[in-house]
Parts: sequence; structure tokens; C-alpha cells
Amino acid sequence: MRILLICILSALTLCPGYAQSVFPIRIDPDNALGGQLSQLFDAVDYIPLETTNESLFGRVDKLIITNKYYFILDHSTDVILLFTRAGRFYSKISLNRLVKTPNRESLGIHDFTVNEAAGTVLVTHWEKQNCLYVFDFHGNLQKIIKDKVWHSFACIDSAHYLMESGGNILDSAKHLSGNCIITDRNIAIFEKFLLKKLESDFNIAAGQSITNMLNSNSIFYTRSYDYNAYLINGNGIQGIYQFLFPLGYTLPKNFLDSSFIGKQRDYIFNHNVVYGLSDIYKVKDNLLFCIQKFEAPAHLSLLYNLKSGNLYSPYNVTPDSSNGFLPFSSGDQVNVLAADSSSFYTSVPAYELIAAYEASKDKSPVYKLPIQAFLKKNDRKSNPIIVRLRLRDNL
Amino acid sequence: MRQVYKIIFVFLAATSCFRVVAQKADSAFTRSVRGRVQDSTHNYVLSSATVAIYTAKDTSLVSYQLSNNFGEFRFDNLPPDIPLRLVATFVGYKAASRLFIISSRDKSIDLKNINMMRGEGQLSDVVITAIPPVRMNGDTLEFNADAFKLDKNAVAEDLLRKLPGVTVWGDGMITVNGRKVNEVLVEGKPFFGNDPRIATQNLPKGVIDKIQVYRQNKDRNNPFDSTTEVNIKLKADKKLGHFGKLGAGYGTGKTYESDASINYFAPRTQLGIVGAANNINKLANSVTQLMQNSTYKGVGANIEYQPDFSMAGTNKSVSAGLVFQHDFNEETDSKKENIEANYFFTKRDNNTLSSIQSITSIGRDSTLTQQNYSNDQSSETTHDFKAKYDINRPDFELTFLPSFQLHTLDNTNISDQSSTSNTQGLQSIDTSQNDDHSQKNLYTLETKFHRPKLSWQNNGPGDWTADYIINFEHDNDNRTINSNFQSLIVPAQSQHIIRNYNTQTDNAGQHLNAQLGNFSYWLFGTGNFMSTLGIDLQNEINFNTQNQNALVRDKDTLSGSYVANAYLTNHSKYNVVADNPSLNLSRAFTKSLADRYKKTLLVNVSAGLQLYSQKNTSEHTFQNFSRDYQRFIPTVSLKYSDNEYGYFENLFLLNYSETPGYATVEQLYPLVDSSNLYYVQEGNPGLKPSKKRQISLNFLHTSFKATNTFTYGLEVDAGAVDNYFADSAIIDASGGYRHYYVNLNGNKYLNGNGKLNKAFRIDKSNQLQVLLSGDLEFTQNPNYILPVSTNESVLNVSAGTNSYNSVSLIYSYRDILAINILQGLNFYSSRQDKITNTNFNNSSRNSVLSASVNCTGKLNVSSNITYNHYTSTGSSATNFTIWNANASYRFLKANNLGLKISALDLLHQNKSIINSGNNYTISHGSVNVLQQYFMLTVSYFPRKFGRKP
Repeated sequence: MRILLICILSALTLCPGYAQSVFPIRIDPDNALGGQLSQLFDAVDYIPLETTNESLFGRVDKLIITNKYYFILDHSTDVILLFTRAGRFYSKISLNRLVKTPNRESLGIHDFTVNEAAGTVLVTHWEKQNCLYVFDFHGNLQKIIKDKVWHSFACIDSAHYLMESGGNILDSAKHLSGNCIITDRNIAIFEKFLLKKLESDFNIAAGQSITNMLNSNSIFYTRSYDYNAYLINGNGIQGIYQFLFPLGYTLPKNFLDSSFIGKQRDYIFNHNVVYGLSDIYKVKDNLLFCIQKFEAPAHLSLLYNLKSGNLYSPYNVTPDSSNGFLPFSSGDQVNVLAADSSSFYTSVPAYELIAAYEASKDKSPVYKLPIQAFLKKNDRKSNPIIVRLRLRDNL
Repeated sequence: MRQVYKIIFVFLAATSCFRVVAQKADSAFTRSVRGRVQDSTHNYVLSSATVAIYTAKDTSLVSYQLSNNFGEFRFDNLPPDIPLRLVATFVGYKAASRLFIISSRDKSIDLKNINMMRGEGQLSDVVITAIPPVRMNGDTLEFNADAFKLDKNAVAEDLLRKLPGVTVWGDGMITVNGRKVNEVLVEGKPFFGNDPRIATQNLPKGVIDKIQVYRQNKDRNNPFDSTTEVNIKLKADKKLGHFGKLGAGYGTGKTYESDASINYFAPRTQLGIVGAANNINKLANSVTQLMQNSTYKGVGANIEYQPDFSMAGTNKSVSAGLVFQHDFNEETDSKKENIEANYFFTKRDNNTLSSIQSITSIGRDSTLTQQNYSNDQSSETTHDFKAKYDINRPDFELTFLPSFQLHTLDNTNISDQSSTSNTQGLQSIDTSQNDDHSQKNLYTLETKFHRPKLSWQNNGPGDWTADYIINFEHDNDNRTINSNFQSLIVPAQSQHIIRNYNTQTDNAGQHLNAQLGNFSYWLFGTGNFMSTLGIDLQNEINFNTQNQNALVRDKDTLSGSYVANAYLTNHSKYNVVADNPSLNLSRAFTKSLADRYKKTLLVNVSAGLQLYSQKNTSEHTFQNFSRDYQRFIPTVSLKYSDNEYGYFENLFLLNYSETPGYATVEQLYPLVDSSNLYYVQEGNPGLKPSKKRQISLNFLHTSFKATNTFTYGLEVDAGAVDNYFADSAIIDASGGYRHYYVNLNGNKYLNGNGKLNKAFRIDKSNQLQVLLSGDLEFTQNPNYILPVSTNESVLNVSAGTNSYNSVSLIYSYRDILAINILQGLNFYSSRQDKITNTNFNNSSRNSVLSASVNCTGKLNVSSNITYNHYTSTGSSATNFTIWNANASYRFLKANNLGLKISALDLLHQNKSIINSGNNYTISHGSVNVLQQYFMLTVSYFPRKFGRKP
């Protein structure tokens, strides 16, 4: 039945014309493994971010890594900050003068993506949803592209973007429609129509539906009520990871049928089913992803090794002497923010790091120089710390 | 990586290793054991697992704790050379056990890893009789009630006192790790109203399965922003039951008290019925208050609820009430409907004998003294019913609030009054009797509707609220006054009047308040400056119609028959329509840093228009009038909050408002009744509306520290009234007053009050709270006075100062001892700028010391003593002391039967002093009060929880 659901969803939503590889993955969240930090990671690096009046910010709500910079979206101050990979403040991007909002925290900058080759940052704002603001890395506005309302987007490579709209877009000339499309670097031409919108009377979504990795030239795309993760490059869908869950976690096969209209909300609220996937990264032979449910833990991060089939729960990974017993993520789950070819990136608030440092003194931990310097010079009000977790081989 | 509040809870439990068995007071218990709990199958440690140590021989609990974030545990101070058993438990896992002995040669041993397997169930190789007292279940900290050994008659409050981190304060407040518990729920819902003591002082510990403590996080940017809630989870077979009280007492001087209550609860229904009768000044204002005074636990070692010895007169009261609550849906339903009903009946009989002397300055070195002796007997009956039917849907909320209040009053007042001038001597005397029978019936239906703006409706002002109230009131008043006034100065003024008033009044009112917004997007789109404003429209409209029929008759002293008084007999109709449309603009300025602070300045500006129309039609043509007014009503408010997450919050509120006041028929065109020549109210058709301008500032500091919380605040109001309705009094040669209102500028006031609350948790057993409050008022009232004796009208300004201050200390030692020390100081001062140089002052000081001791689980002794000191200008100081004591004892196995001996006002000194002042008049007097009595009270508490097997 689960396979049938996946097949039906795939058949309904995929437009013909693209050759794809399909990789089925069986995930049983209840039997994910844990371990000591050093069992999963070769190294853990803490990268303090410079704290000055100009660079002070609240939380890392979104992180994009390029070869030179960390790009950090902080909703509480409503800015995108650029720090060098060493943690030095470089510049920041703000829309405060361009767009006024009654509530900067929740109705400020909506999303952003970075085109490293072009040296541009694409930014959207809740209050001007039909505008794409293009900035350079110094925070200067280059242009404003007024067009469709894009829900989410990401830079695939220097010449392509993946754009998702709220409803289907019709290209009558080519007899195509879809809400997930690939555009060129000017966002003006609808190059490829990938997926049509899944119709539902109850919209629920969480996490990042589009994720890219440093220097990868491809992105992952996921959406609610679809257990497929689409690997997309400039040419279209290159691969599909089909997630299969135990029956108790799986949506009914007729969940999107008309017979379920009006019942979808209550079903999600009253059953511990996975309603979607998000935040997918592929590092070495591992997929790191988040499954979305209504019941706690609502956003569960899992790490799956494609070779061995081993499944790990980062939540159940315990800090050890390799990282001085310090926390490596914050919040009620491990929230992975970015990835490169070997590592994942998370962040930890200063107050949590300092509290853990105080609590672990009896373990006589040994800290690397950057964290020693941080603990000496900073306090609980300092900027959050970026954590880079380098994965071991052959998990 | 774990949530902050989980860390706090684990810290709370894990930093303390709770010893259960008694231990030797020497250094023999110095051994320790450590280890780590893990799921070896899945290769991770289990943080917040419950780890308990038992003696292997009889499995009695020695100590317990929760594992830390690394799955580690460490027990210190364990006995050497005794076989011990460690048992680890965790939700979703089978219990794991390890037998060990710490040899006297070793200081500590390491048990390494304690491996746990998925599944449910207890140990197969050993029977554990003691249950682990605490566990983490998700983000909820659960205390297992059966694990805490308490007196068999203990209640939930006794259990709460035993829980680590939980403090039940002397004033009834409950804190968990220093944070106030906002709500105590039973099975996830309020228990017979919002007073947590109904649950905590009635529910036996034996029916409680678990006490759950959890936090509700509200602001994702503030990891410390959460409210702490406590839920009492009942055992599966104890989810319904009843409890109550039957009590009766009789004492010297024919004093008595009795009360009865029965409360029934089931998973979706609660019903409580309560009644009380006494003549010892125990008056309840609500059903909840009656229920609170009938709990099984009572108030423990706290200060006993006792008669109000300051209450005027002798009082008999009968009260009864009912509370009902029913949920139509299960807890998990997204659609919710529930009904609440509350009925309260009171009957109060009062007899007050008073003697009051009022001194009025009417010029320099010239005063009038009024002496009033009165005997007032009243019987008052009130039926008060309120119901609430709530319908909650995801897209709207609808509430119906029907209510009625039926009130009857029978009153007889006999008074002897006289007026004496310091220059002329006795001017007049009056003997009067006033018999009043009145009935007032009020019926109200309120309907509230709120439809929130749905997220996908972005193109218009979709958030709207409407509140509609319709009410009808019928009053029937039958009053007879028999007044015999004799003037010694102007004999022609003497009169003897026997007058009967029969007044029927019908009031019909409708009130509609509707609000619609936000128009900002609709008008200006988004992203521009104007879109940052909140723009709402509001309209509040009131229609009131009053129909009055007054039949007034005078008794002909010759014929003995009543003859209609053509002047005072009247039929009138009075309509008032007040419409208040307003445009509200708001703007929020926020500076925030996630995880650190949030500073917000909220500015609200409201431009309102008040259209006020009044029309009166009467059989007396001079009373026919129609007036229409239009007033601009601006309001400005600023709210600034600085929330330093985890540390403190400072809140500042600044408001400016203008409020018009309109003269009533009685102030403009009254039918002047001269039956009481000491107070005749006349009209002034020239009265113009007044305008009050007020500015107020509030400041509140709230500490978020986990220990010794500190809260303080300040409120200041300042205002001035233009065209103030000032009193103008003409005092005739006999000492009679004719009052009417005139418009005067110059009415000003400044009120300030501050409060401070600091709590000290000295250790687990000793708690101290310090509460300070101060209130200071300055008023400036202009008035006219025209004594006929001088025939010189004086525009006088009365400057008054009022102050109420208190400091109190509440100390408690567990639930065994409570001591309360309170010092109160009130004073009043009045100064006149024209009439006299003499200042009027009065003051009162009250010093209270009270203590209560729970000597055993069954015997409670308490006593309190209050020293009172009153002073007043023109009178000598009055001092008296009230000393009360009582002892109570509980009998039977379940402590169901209580016996109490009370000795009240042991020194027989109680007095009730009246000190008051108003402009150029100051009053001082005394009334009869409840005095010394001794009483024996017997109480029985019927209680049953759960079904019969």
C-alpha cells in the first residue's frame, strides 16, 4: 500500500520527459541508533562569530555557506549577515529602508539564496511577496525583480534557480504547468516545469523544503504529503529518494482524494503520521533529513547511511571529550542548517554553550583554541557559535 | 540540544539526591556509587532516567535521582557493607536492576553502564515495593504520589509541599523552582473554579496518581518565556467522587455558625452545592469563597479564616450557592462546547446602632456640629444567577452569558439628629423614622462573537468582534418617612411630615460594541510606512430608557388619611443614547535579539467622537428637556516593555484620556423633597458638562530569578476636571443644608500607590515573604458655602490627603507553623483655604501578630492579637486590642470529624470606629459590633472518591 501511495503520488505529480533514478529507502524512526559524538564525527569545530555592535544578532534562522562566507538570516533583527569562514563580520543585508513592516520579527525577510558565482543574494520579504530583491555581497541593492509570488527558491548553480510558487503556473505556449520550475539566472524565463501542486484543504509545512550544499550544483526539493525527495540539477530531476515508513507512520493511500477533504486536518492532528520531509542533505554516503509529524518529536532529524543502511538519530548522540562535552545544537531537536561535502553545520547560542561549559567543569575537558578564546572573552549575550561536524566514513 | 525547560527540570531533580530513609548522623554514610544508564541496543545514553537505590533486604527506598544529560548518575552518602539494589526506569523501557555492596574499604564504586531494553514491565527477579518518586515523561516532570509516604489523611497540598523544587507559600501561592504556578488543573481542567485550593485542600493524596509539572512556551525567541502549570492526574478508578462538609457551632451570647457543602465531580461534569448560616460576621461574597472556607484541609497552619470583627452592627447571614460545569466534548476534539452556571443566594440581617458626630466649618471660628444617633435594621435578600455557554470553533468563538439578579431590601432606620452651632448653641433637632421596602429585578443577556482573521484572507479587514448586551430592570420601592423637625432658632421652619413614596421604575438598556480591523492592508497595501500602522474602527452604542411612576402621599395629621402630593407625584420617561465611534491607530516599535531580550514600544492613539443625547418627559413641564452633545474624545497610550529573557521584565504604561460627564435629571431639574431639612437636594438647570483629563503612569518590575523572586510596582494617576460638578451648600439658621451643583474649575487629584513583594526561601522548610504597600491621594475640591448666619458666600477649596500603608511579614515553617506580622497606618487630613485655618486630621494604626501551629496531624492551635489606635480632630484617641484564639482537633481514622473551640475578643475590647472626612466636614463615631464570645464547633467531612468495587 505504501509503495502504491508513492507510485500514485509520483505518477500524479511528475511531468513526463525527465529520466530519473529512483532510490527506495526504508526508515524506521523508532530504531534509529545513537552514540558518542566521536563515533559519528571525526571532528567538531566551533566557529565563534565576531560580536560587535554592528554584527550583533539573535539566532541563526537560516545558514548558507559559500567558499568565503557564512550567510546568516536572523529574523529577530531582520537582517542577513555575512561572516567570513573564520567568523569575522563582513557585511549585512537589510530591507528596512526599502520595505516597511509592522512586525520585523515575523513579517520581515522571508527567505534568501546565494549565487556565489554571480556574487548576488536573492531576498524575499513577507510584505512584498511579488518582489525578488537582488543584493551584492556588500549589502548593496542591485535590482528588484517584480514577478510571481515565490514561496521558496534556491540557487542550483551559477545559471539556474529552482523556484516554487503557491499555485500552478501555466505556459500555454508549451502546454505545460507546474508550481515547481527551473528558471535561468534572471528568473524571467520558465525553463522547465517539474512538479504540479498537490491539492489539499489543509496546508501544513515545516522546515526547509529546498536545500543546497556548498559546491554541489544540485539541490534537494521536498513537499508536504509526498514521501519523495527530489534531487534536482540544472537539467531537471536527476534522482528521487523514495522514503518508506512503518505503517503506523504512513499517510493513508487515499489521503489526497476528495473523500478525505475536510478530514485531513484532524487526521494529521490525531495520528502520529509523517506528513512530510524537509532539510535534506547528502554528505559522503549519508542522507541527513528531517521527518515532520504533529506529535512530539514533531521535527525529527535522522541520518541514513546509503551503503550500510544504518539509521542514526543525532538527538541521541551525546557530546564527549572530543568536543569538551559541549552541546552541538540547540532546540528540542538537532537542527542541521547547512552542509558541505564532508560536514554538517549547526549553531549553538552563547548562553547554552556557557551553561554547558560551567556544568562540565568537573569532567576536566580540553578545548580547542577558538573555543578557549570565546569562553575567555565572551558572555551569554554574545553571538551564536557555528558548529561544523565532520562525518566519519563508513557509518 | 535539549530544551531549556527540560534542562531546568532535570537540573531541579538531578542536582539533588533525595534521601528517603533516616540515616545516622555520623560519617558512616560516606560511600558513593556512580554509573551511566544507556540503551545498548541502539547505542545511546538515557538522560532523565529515574535511578533509585533500595536496600536489597526489604527493598525500601534509600535514595533516587534523574540521570543527567550524559546518562550519568552519582549517589553520595550511601551506607557501606549493606547489599543495595539499583533500579533504573525510563518511559518505554523495561526496568533494569543491579545488586551491589560498597565495601567499607572503598569510598566509591563505578557500576559502569546500566543497560536498558525497550518494552514495558517490571523486574522479574525482584519485587520492588517502593515506587520511584519522579520521572521525566517527554517534557513533563511527573511525581508519583504513591512514592511519597505521608499521613494517610494528607491532601494534595501536603503532597505538593514534599515535592522537590515545589513551594507552597504562606499566602497560598505555589511556585516551582521559584516560578509561580499559573494554574493548578485536575485531569487537565480547572477544578470547581479558578481557586487552586479547592483541589489542593480537598483531594486526598490517596486518589492522586501523579502530579505533573510542565511548561508552556509562548515565544519562540525567548527560551525562558513559559508559564508553569501543575496538573493533578487522578488514579483511573478515582476520576469521580464527592466531598463536602457539615459543620455546626454554638457559643456564648447565642452565637452560632453552620455550613454544609457537597461537591460532585466526574470526568466531564462538576457540580457543587454549598450553604452557610451564622451570626458571627462570616460573610461570603461568592460561592467560591464559601467553598474555599469549607475545604477538608482548611487552611492548615496558615492564618485561620475568622469573623470580621470590624464589621458594623450585629449580623445574621444565610448563604447558599451552586456551581455547575459541563464539557460537551472530549479533550482532544478541536470543536469545543461547554456550559458553566453559578447561582448564589444570600440573606443578611443587620442591626446597627451608631453614634456619629460631624463637625463642619462654616467660617473662621464658626462650626456646626451635627450629632446623629441611629438605629438601623435591615434585611436584604439577593438571588444572583450567572451562566456561560461557550462555543469554540477553529474559525470563530461565540459566547452567551445569561444572568439575573433579584434583590429585596427591608429597612427601618430610626434616628435622632441635632445641629449645634458653636456660637448660637443648639439650633434644631429632628427625630425621624424611615421604613423602606424595595425590590429590584435585573435580567441580562450578553452575546459575544469573535471571528479572527484567517491567514489566507489577506485582502481585507477580516478580524471582527461584536459584543451585544440587552438588559431589563424593574424596581419597586415603597418607602415611608416620618420626620419631626424642630427649629429652636426659626420656629416657623419646624415641621412634622409623614410621607409615603411608591416608586415603580423600569429600565431597559441595549449595548452594542463592535470592532473591525485591521484596515491598513486594505487601504495602503504592504511594505510602506502606512502599512506599519494598525487601523481599527470601533463603535460602542448605548440605548437606555427609564420609565418611572412615583406616587407620593402625605399623611394628613388631622384626618389620619394619606393625600397625594401633587408636586412629588410624577410620571416621567428618560431616554439616553450614547454613541461612541472611534478610529484607533496603533504602531509597535520593537528591538529584539533572539535568546537575549525584547524591547517593545506600543503607541495607541484613538480619536473618538461621543454623541450624547438625553431627553426627559415629565408631568411637570419644567422637567421636560432635551439636550444633545458632541464631544471629541482623544486617548493616547504608550506601553514600553523591556524583557531581558531569564532575568527580569520592566513594564511602563502611560495613558492620557479625556472623559466628559453629563448632568442627570436629579442634578438639573429635580423634584425638590424637603422631608429631611438637614439634606435637601436642589437642581441647577445651568449645569454644563464636565471634562476630566487624566494622565496615568504604571510601572511594574517582575523578576524571573529562580530563587527569592522580587516584584515591585508603582501606579500614579493625576487629573483635573473642568466644569467640575462642585457642591454648593446653603446652611440655614437651623443647621439645615440645601445642596445643589455648580460648575467650577479647579478640581485636581494626584493618586499614587506602590507595592513590593520579596520572597525568601531560606531553606526547604523555612519561607519568608515581605509585602509592602503604600497608597497616597491628594485631592483639591472647590466648593461654595453660604451660611445664612454670615450671609456671605465663600468660594472655598478643600485640600485633602489620604494615605493607606501596610507592611507585613509572613513566615512559615513547613506546614507546621505560620506567623504573620502586619503593621498598617492610615491617615486623612483636610485643609480649607478660606473657611477656616483649622486642619482636620484623623488616623488609625493597626498592629497585628498572628500565629498558627499544627501540633500534630490532628491538633491545630492558633491565635492572633490586633492593637488598634484611632485619633480624630475634636475627639480623644481611642485604643483597643482584639485577641482571638482557637484550638481544633480532628477525630476518626480519616480525620473526618473535627472539633474546634474558639475564644474571640478575649479582652472584651472590640470597638468599631468610624473616621471619615469630606471637604470641610469631618466625622468621627462608633457603631455597635460583635464582641467577646466562646464557641464550640463540630464539623464532619463526608468524602468518597471512586466507585465501589
